[in-house]
Amino acid sequence: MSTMRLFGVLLVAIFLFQCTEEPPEEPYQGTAEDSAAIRSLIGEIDTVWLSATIFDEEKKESDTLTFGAFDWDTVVNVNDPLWKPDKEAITESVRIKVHPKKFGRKVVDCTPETTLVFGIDTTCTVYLDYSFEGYVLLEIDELCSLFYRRDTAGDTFLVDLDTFVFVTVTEDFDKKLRGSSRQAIHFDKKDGVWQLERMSGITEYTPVIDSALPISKLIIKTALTSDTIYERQDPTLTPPRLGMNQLFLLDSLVTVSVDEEVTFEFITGIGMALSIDPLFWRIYIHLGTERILDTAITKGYIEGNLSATFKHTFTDTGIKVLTFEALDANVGYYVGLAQEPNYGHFSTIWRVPIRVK
Amino acid sequence: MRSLVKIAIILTFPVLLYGGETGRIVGKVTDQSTGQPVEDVDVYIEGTELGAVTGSDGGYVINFVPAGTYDVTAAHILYEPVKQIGVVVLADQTTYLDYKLKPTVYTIDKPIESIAVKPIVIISSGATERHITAKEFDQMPIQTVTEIIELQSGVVSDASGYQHVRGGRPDEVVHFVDGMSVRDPLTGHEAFTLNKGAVEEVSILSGGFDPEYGEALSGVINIVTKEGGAKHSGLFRYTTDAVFPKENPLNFGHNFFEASIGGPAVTKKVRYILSGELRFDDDFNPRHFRTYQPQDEYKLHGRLTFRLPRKIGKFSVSGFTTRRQHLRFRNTWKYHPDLEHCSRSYRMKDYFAQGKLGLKITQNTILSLKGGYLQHNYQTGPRDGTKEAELWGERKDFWEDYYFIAEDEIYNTIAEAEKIDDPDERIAMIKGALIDTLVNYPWIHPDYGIVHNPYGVMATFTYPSLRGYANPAFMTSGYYRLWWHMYSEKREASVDLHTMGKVHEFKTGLKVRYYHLGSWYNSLPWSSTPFWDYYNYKPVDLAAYIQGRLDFEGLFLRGGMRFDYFNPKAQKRKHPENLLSEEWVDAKVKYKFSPRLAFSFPITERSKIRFNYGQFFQTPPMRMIYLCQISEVALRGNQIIGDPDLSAKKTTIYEVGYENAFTEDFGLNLTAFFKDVYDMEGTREVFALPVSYTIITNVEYGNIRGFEVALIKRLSNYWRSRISYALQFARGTASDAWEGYYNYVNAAPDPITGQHPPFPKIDYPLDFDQRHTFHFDFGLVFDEKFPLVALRDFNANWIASFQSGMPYTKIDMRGNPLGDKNSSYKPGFWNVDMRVSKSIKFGLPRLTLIFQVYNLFNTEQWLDVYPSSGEPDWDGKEFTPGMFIGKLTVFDRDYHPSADADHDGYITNVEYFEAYMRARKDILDDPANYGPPRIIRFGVELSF
Repeated sequence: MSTMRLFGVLLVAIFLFQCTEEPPEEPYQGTAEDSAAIRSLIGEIDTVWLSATIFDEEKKESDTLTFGAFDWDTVVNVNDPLWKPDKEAITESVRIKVHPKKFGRKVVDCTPETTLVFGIDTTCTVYLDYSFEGYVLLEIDELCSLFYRRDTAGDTFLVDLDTFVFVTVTEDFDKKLRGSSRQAIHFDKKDGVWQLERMSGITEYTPVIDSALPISKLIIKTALTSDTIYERQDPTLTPPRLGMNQLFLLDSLVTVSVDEEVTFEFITGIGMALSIDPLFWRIYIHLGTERILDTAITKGYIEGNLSATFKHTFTDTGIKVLTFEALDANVGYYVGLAQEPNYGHFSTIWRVPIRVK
Repeated sequence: MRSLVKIAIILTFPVLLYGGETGRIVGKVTDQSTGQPVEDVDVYIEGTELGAVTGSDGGYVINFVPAGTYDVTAAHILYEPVKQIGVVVLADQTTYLDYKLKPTVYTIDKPIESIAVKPIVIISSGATERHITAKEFDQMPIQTVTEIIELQSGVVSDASGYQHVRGGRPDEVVHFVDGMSVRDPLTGHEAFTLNKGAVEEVSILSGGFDPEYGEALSGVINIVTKEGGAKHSGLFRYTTDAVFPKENPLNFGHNFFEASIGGPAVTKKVRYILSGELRFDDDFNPRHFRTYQPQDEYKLHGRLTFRLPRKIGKFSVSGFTTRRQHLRFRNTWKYHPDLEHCSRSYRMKDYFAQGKLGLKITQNTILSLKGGYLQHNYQTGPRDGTKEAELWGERKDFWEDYYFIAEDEIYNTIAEAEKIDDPDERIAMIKGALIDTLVNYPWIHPDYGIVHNPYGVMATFTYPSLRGYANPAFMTSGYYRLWWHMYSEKREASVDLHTMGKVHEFKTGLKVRYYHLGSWYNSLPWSSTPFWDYYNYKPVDLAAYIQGRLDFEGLFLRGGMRFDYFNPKAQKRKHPENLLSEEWVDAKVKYKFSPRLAFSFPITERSKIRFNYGQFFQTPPMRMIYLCQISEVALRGNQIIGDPDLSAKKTTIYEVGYENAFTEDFGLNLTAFFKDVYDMEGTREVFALPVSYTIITNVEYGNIRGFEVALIKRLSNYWRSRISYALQFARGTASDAWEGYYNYVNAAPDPITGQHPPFPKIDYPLDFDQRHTFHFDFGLVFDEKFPLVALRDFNANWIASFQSGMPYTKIDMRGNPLGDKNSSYKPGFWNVDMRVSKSIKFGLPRLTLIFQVYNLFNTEQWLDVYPSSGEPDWDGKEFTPGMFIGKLTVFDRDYHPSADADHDGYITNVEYFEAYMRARKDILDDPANYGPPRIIRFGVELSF
């Protein structure tokens, strides 16, 4: 037997047994190709769904915050909850304005972050996160001022409305705003092709979820149906509770019919009126890439619950994203010149996908 | 105290010697026809200047023969010269070589050749010794010197790869290279492993050792390096498993290059040898199946020997350097997206140099002067991937080192700090480097990632009902939580005197060693109160020894005395119970004397009874002396603190053996031994102000008893074999020094009493108490004269081993121990390794093809098990969905899509339970709990 033949026999003998221990199959965690395919898909999806913010209003608005109830003459009425006379005046020079002539917001920096999380069952959930910074723009024509001197450092002073001096000015001010939004969308790989399968609502908070105004629920009513969407879903309840954080199958979104009047009512929740400032409610309806179909603004406190109701009739079919905003009315306050206004921008925005058939 | 040292020096200096690398050849030359002794026969070792002339009784002695294999010729003008080929000379042993010469009237230049045999029974040895020559281990299915040692009776390797010789702790074995210890003084472990190509002989002494060997309790591994030969020779060998496709589980990315070259340089009096290794692996330590733990390593050894004129002696210098760096696989880290850098890597770098002058004062006496240097660098932690990309470019070359995070910054600060005289300022600066520099890295704690978390079980997701069960969370973001640099340096000088007579041998020596030891450590880098430590000490030790050997007919007697001195050059707390006190006193200087005695009675020429008794001392690994001495570090709380007054641990060994060569080829070796080990290092709690701490102290005890039997078939008729079995009982009060801290001081308190578990009051089987080990080594060696032409120069070797399991303490599902400590045993396992080679000669060069298989039958080898189940892949604990809450929605911190089976954005308790079980199965099925799977390697060798 030649040496080579002997080597051959030995090799065969070895391979008659199991070769060696196979490493267990690693749980699927996505590949670079999968990531690229999904990112490409995200790019193709209607950008309206995924854009971070509606604050692209560079142009100041003169009308949107003009509510009859908030005229200055009314504001001086100390019984109006929009005007709180117990603001602590903590600086030597205080100037306060609650009714800007013009109002607008502008986002100047938006950082998108897309996180792909692959599941062991060859799925991918994508988190679309945006953090943004911008300005609230205020144009003020009348200012009330108070001059006082503290007795001691750290002393506080309750402003007595009678001591205000009103002067007419024309000044522009801006207040910083910052916030973040998040949406989850879900892809499944079927027959080797990635497909969008589910999406959640988009929640957007300024500045952060803990200090943003809460929205409790949104009720979407037609003549025959009524669906309520909460912030958190709970499928264990009967009937299951829909939520903004629910990954809706695209086929099972809340559905309304075309040419049918739909009523949208959204509510902060019982007792909220006692603990938070009044709201401006606003609604936008996105259709495809068209940004605003309609804008409605309303004062938001009614009978203890802060709520608002809008009506709308859709004229074409498809998936629409409705944008609801609850904005703290105190956004219009301006306090002081040399310091950051002590009333920032507090708002919560829900963007809810629905299907119009 | 100083006068004592002086006395010791004065007493020992006149008779100093050095040994451990040479043996001698003793024999008698007789007339073949008459049987009468022949006088004036010239007996010489070819290729050397060593030789002797027979006296009137025909006897001769060639002393100081470096360990190795030689051709020895006996020549006389009236007789036909005879050359004995392959005479093996073992370090510290006598080789008996007799000649029977045939008278002739002609002048014969070419001697008659005969093959010498290595004796099965070494009559002169008084203790358990095994000597393996380069020629032998080159044919065995092993690749490193470490693997040679693992095959010896009484040597046990634990799941971490540490070797325990006769039931001792891993730091109780000392490795010598050409007589100089290469132990890392800080850890007590071997600083480096020499490349196989540089090794001429490995001796394993496990049953007691001569006084010249100190600082070891369990065993001495004595390595003698090769010297350049009289002729040029060289070797290149390449071994790989990369012949298998990359995705094949048999491809462990192993590429191993070995080369050596040696011979005379310039003149015949100068010889050199240079050897080296380059090794690359994707999985350097396969366990169960292929994992990712890359390693690259280089080793370079060189030795230059000058023979002084007029045969008055020899001067040699040698140097060795190695760098080994690798990543270690950890099951919990396997899904980390940047495992390579963020997990824990290791880099060990060593420099070793030796110079030796041997002067022949008389024909039988040599004076040796020797100097040596050893530096060991150890760095571990996560690496800086960005910096490495910058330094390495697109492809890393083998000489390029890993770059650990903040390495330059910390090293530079340390270097600057060490120049500062004021200790407080120095410590503050080093603390700044170790804490401020590291604190801002994204360490693994406390964030666990959402991405690359395959099962979606988040670390923060702990429910009360799961208390006590670790969350099966894989580390998927951040860095490993450790940065540690250790440095040890040793400068050694020795003078030795060695005299050999026909009957006696006498050695004495003095050795002094200066150390420089340092450690820079931070194991909670993100914390404002991290576990950090720093020390920098320069201790000194000294050893002197006297030993003698008398070789009478019927009795071989070896004995002597060793003196050791150690000055830790440190201070210790005057009030250890009060950490706020800054009163310090000098740590004590330690002395110890250890007597040794061994004798063997030859019963016949081929059999003997031997007995060995000895007391052995060993200074503890020095980090146990210097750990956490800084007050600020000690005051942190929950610290283990070293003791500068830690004493040496002590062993008393008794051994009795019987060796018998039934024939020239078959032999039997029986040994029984008993060891008591006292004052082993352990940890105990010290209740002090303002915080208690744990101190390392001499408190543990061990007792090891055993029995070894070996049947040996020497190579003859083309085959050889060795069957050995060892039965061993290793009991004690702590398997390692830290056991007290982890198992008792720092263990979870009893929920009812609030007390920590009590320390054991009686000894128990130690963690490495492997009762039964069995080795069957079988080799076929078909040389160039083998009748079957096709099988000429063909070697095949198999090593079959059985190892019984090591003990563990079985616990119930609540963690309560079931039975006594370590009263359960893991199952044992079989393993067979194989090496086959075939050489082909092309004139002078020789080409050899090699085929090696480890774990030939791919047996599943359980090295570790879960104490609650006794299985390596599952702990047996039961869970139900009711133990989970779920209710996680898509924007919650602990929501993970992988746990949301229906992907509706809501994780129910059932979904979380299922995800948890999947993750748990994966995390518990840790390949590190198993031994290696089948590994197949191919090699090619070219030599001349």
